Amino acid sequence: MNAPVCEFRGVGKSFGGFTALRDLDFTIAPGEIVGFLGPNGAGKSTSLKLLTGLRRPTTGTVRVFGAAPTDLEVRRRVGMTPQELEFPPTMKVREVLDFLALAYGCGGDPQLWREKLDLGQVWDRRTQGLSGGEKRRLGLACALISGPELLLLDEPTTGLDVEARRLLWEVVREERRRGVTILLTTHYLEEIEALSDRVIVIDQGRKLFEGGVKEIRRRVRMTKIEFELPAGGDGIDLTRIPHLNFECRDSRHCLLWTRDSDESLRALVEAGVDFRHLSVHPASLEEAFIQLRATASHGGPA
Amino acid sequence: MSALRKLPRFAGYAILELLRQPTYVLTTLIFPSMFFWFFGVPNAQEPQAARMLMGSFAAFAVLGVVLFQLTVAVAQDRAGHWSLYLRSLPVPSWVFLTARLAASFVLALMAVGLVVLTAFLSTDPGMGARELVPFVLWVLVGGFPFASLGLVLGSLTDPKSAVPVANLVYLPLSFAGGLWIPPNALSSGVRAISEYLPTRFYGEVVWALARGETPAARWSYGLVAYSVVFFAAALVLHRRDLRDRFG
Repeated sequence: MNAPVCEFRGVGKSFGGFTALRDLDFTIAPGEIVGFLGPNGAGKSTSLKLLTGLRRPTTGTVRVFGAAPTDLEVRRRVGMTPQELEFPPTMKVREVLDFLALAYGCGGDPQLWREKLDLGQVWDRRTQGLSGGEKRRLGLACALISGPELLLLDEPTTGLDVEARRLLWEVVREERRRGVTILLTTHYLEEIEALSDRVIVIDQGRKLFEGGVKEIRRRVRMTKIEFELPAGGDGIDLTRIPHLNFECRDSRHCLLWTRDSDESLRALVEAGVDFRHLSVHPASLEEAFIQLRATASHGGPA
Repeated sequence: MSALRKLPRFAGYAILELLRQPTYVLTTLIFPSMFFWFFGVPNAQEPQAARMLMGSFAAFAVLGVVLFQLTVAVAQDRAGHWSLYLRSLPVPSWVFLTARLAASFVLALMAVGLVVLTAFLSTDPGMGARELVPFVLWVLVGGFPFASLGLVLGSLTDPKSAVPVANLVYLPLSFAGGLWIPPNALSSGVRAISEYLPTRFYGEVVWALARGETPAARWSYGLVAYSVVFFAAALVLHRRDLRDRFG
């Protein structure tokens, strides 16, 4: 196997008393697209900061192209979107890209990205006047201007409409065909399915899961069944209903998480539960993570 | 070294960023010349007095621009996300800081230019280009300790407190250092402090040069000593800041 592009070995990171990452291990091989998933505060941003050398691990080692991420030669080969999509407010789009081409010293061609990312309309506009979507496209152009071998994308499409998202996905797919290794963080399972080969789920600074996209899809597909019990109905044993996890707030308002909502609903009816205000929703990715964490920690079905 | 070769172009971007804030630039440029016009012109009856007053307000211009500009820029950079991004680029971080420093001195040169222009239009400094150019250069060089002080203040403030803190430092320093009115016109209490202020050292060096004399060792070495102290403090604080933000 080729030498990994990114390598985390027993990485821990604490800030004062707060532990952001603990004992994190993973590698990313050349040409892979890996999705980095996890709820807010799971440690995704900290991991990206370690990969770009903005932070140093408290324990363990982080390697990029076999060297420390702070190495300027390593940085030349890495492209990333600016944090929080913040740009110098008075600089024009064209100038931001020229500036980065100068910084990378790569002879990168801003014009190419002007076309590919549809920045023509705002080319001579100051970044302070850009819309959210325009900033995302400029952010991606910043990441790609140097023709990087490793691309780090932090929530590349958060807040975009469907059309804009598809444009960005197409650009990322083209980079992938060029053989670029990509690590992307996202909140959208759809995005992971559309782009990545492999998924790493982190939660509370630990790796919760690592595997193929199909596997993660199977794990996080969950339904949330919500209902109320009548007053005095708290004697019913809900554990007999097929579920992954459930919680009852104030003994009346119940939430039940299941992989098979049909089966669970049938069981609810057959058990004669006198439920009210029943609703059935697909669980969001964030909710699914929390349930996975809960079931993993008390050894329940996962 | 390639980073060094790129420095002028990075400085160009830093200057461009400043010039894109015309209100800020105009007020910054006009302020010292206006003060010269108010306080300097009435007392500039003969050439030597005109030269010394031009020197005072040129020094005030340099002090105001570099101290103010660097305090605010460093405080903003520390709080912003763009500077994080710069730090992940294949360019050593001192390059961007040096570009900011260079940009602040370019703006200072413009402010000095306007003071000199005002002086030549409204008084008679009796100076030719041969004397004027080295004089202006020395005034700029003498601003270095205040650039360092700006870096110190920028490391200690946030974007909201940077402006009032910079004002609170540079305005009293200018006055008590004798840059607005000569030291012997200061009240006795202020005069006692004045002798120890870096701005007084700066002023004394500039006034000696305006008289065509070599500054007394006490003042020139004193200014160098202040430079060393402020620059060392800036480095220590910068290191501490890097440890906090990137450790």
